[in-house]
Amino acid sequence: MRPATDLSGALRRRATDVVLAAILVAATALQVCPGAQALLEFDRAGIAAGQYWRLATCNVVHFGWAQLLADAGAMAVLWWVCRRRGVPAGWPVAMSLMAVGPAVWAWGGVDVYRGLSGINCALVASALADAALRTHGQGGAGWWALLALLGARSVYELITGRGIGPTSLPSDVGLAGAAHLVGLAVGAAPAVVRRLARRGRTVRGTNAVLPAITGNGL
Amino acid sequence: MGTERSRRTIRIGAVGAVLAALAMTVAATPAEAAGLLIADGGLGGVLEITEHSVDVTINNGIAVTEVTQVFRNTEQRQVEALYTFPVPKGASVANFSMWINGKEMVGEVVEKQRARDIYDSYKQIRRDPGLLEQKDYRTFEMRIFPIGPGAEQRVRITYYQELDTDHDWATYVYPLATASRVGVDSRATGRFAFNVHAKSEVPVVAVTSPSHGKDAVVVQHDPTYFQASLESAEGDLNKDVVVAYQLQRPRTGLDLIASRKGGADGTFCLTLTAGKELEQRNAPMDYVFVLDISGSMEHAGKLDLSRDTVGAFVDSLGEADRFEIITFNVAAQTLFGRITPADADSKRRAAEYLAGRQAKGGTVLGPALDAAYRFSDPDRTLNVVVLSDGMTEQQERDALVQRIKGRPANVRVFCVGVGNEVNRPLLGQLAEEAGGLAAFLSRGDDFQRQAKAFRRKLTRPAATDVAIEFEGGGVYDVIPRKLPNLYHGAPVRLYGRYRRDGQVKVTVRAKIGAAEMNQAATIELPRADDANPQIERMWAWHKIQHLLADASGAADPAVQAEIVRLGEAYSIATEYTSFIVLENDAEYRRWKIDRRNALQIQRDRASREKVQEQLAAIRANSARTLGPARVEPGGAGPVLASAQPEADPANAPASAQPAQSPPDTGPRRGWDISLPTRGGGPVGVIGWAAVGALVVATLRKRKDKRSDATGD
Repeated sequence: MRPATDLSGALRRRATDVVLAAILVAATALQVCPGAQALLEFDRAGIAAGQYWRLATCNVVHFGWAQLLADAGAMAVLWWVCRRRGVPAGWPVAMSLMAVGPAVWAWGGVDVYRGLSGINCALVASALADAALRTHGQGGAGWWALLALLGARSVYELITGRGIGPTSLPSDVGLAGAAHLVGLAVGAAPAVVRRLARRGRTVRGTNAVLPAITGNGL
Repeated sequence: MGTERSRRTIRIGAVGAVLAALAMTVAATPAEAAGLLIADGGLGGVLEITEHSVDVTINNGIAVTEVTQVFRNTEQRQVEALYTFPVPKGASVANFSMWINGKEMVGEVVEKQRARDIYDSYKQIRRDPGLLEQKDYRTFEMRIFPIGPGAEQRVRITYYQELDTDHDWATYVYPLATASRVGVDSRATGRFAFNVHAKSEVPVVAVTSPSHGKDAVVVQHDPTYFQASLESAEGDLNKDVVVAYQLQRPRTGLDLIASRKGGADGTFCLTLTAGKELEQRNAPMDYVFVLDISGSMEHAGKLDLSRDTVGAFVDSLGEADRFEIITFNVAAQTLFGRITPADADSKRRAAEYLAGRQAKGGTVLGPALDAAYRFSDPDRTLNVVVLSDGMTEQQERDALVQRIKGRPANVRVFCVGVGNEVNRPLLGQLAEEAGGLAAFLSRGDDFQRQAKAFRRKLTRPAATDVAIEFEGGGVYDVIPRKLPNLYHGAPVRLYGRYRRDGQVKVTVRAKIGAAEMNQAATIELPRADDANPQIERMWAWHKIQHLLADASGAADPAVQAEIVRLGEAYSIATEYTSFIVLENDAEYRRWKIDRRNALQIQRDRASREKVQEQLAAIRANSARTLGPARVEPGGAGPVLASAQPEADPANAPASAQPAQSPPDTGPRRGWDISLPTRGGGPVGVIGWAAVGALVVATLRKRKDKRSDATGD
């Protein structure tokens, strides 16, 4: 019989799979319904008028097929990576779904926002941080460096409103750096917390052990 | 000369002039060369033009053109003269005057049939009848009889028009380059004078005359005022006079001009202009140029103009753009047979192909359009640019409209009318049906400037579903009710009336791509403003056009009555109203015709004089800075911009122009509006790099696990 913790983990993974699959299906279906997209996108005026669902649903609508294909493709790959590497994807997906819209709202500058990229950023950050924690030595530093590079890119986007290199967005659509930055933050947060906690435990453990050794030895 | 004229004018007893304007007329086009008097209905040669002066006052994009011409009968016999006059597109004829017995007699607008009855009554008793009516959609004609040997006849026509504005460049064209009658000498033996005074609430940053760069003098006295002048003796009148000026509106916004006198309801004109922030990076696009090479394109250099324009357009394409050229007369022919990247080789081949085309045969556009549609690619927008003089065979027009309506979803059709005889109503209708727009090329204009401006229009985002709503001010009768799409460089104008002055909330709704725009601005409607009476006529003219459009096909007596009421009240020649000129005031009284137009003309002239006084003050102010002792660095002296423009006006940077702050022009007239900014999140190069690294690491981990499992 499978232990209870394994069972709940499997259920969580299954639930995450369902959510991610639903997001991809919804995003694709919505691409052929321009009317629905207009109702679900992040629209500052609409949100101010009380249409708060837009804060979350903005993640599943896109400006065009090119953006959808790029975002959905990246999400599918990251989903696979997270499953293979055993990275818990539920937290970053759920948190970024809730946090991206408010972050775009709070930062300002953008009146209309669409895209899965905030969630993708959360997934990639989660996977990078996990890889960094599992890898020792220079390999771990490399993953952290990649995560830092993504963070720097998002800060650049936030400040300039422009991207680095070609993008899948229509030419009249700018970049919402706030969405990426908050996605990275919520994605990396659990891993960073875990690392800090582990370091803290390590230090506390050393302190706890050392007196014993000292006591035994001295 | 005065005595001679007096003697001649005495011989003219009563002259009645009827100007019958059909619905299409007022939406008409530039047609023949400037007014010509032809003896004996065109059979006896042209009367000599001894004087031809054109005074244009442009006030915030609305031009009032007053053309005064003096003709002399050079023949030693009494002749009947046929007077022909072109009315530019979208122009409203506001006055027709003739000098009778040395006095200017201003015409009056009355119901069409009544005007004809009055004219006929004069003709029956042979009291020197005169008849002016529309020949077709582009020409007015008036007969004057008699003009004695050696006698002179002075006539004056005033018309109002909105200027074409293209990517901040407003263009005024005085149409002269047209297909003249055989044997007609359009040279002025005397003086030809052309003067423009232009005033604008939006600062003017550049002025040029593409047609007469070397001969015209353009003086910018102030950021809100410039003057252009052209004068010649025995000038050839076969070239349009074109004056273009660039306005500076960096941000999308609304501009208001209003007219209100006494306690009466006011009239306003609100202009919505796309600003520079709407400009986007030029995404690669597909173009198919559909070039008319039918026989009609041979005249007046129209094929050359088309070739030059397409050539300039093709040259401006980037390598990521693709294009094809289709030429057509009765049959269509393609250049490449496929949509081709605009590289150096294809551009060279295009130039060779265009150079080899000859104008011949009839005009059948339909199959060429069908061929153009076949080049559409689902992933790219296809712009079909039709260059034609619009003389499509009559029986094909309905089918053509249906073809345009049935175009593929990602195809836009843009119609470019070539030359002054272009059938503007047809091309305009085609463009409207196609979700594109129509532009018109004058032979006198700079085709490269036009091509660049048109390309910018194609590559800029358009605001669709534009709606403007008013709260307050008792605003009513807003025209047009349904606003057209907003293209970059092509402002949307709307006219309306208001009952109360004060603040009015204006809400602008539009779709910019997929984004919804919903912005409000608070504008101020003035209590009194007598500087812009022209907008009252323009409002009435637009309302009449709206009523005529509604009435097409079914003549509704109530609509006709309303058109007659508006025509008479605002002195506008329409399908149902005409201008009539009588010999003296007593004759007007005899026919119980109110001198409304005479009063209105008086008011308009007083207003124009007032504007002229303001402009004179500006001129005087700027002239004060002249002279060595008064020149200050960066001072506000007049800027002479004659001859060839030093910089390409299409790309003239604002910084190259005089940096002057606009003077205090009274209450605020312009309001910027914020457009929605759209943001998204692409995966990006770095994002994909991170994803790629993760994928590689994951695959390697799997491989390592397998290796561990197999003990390798």
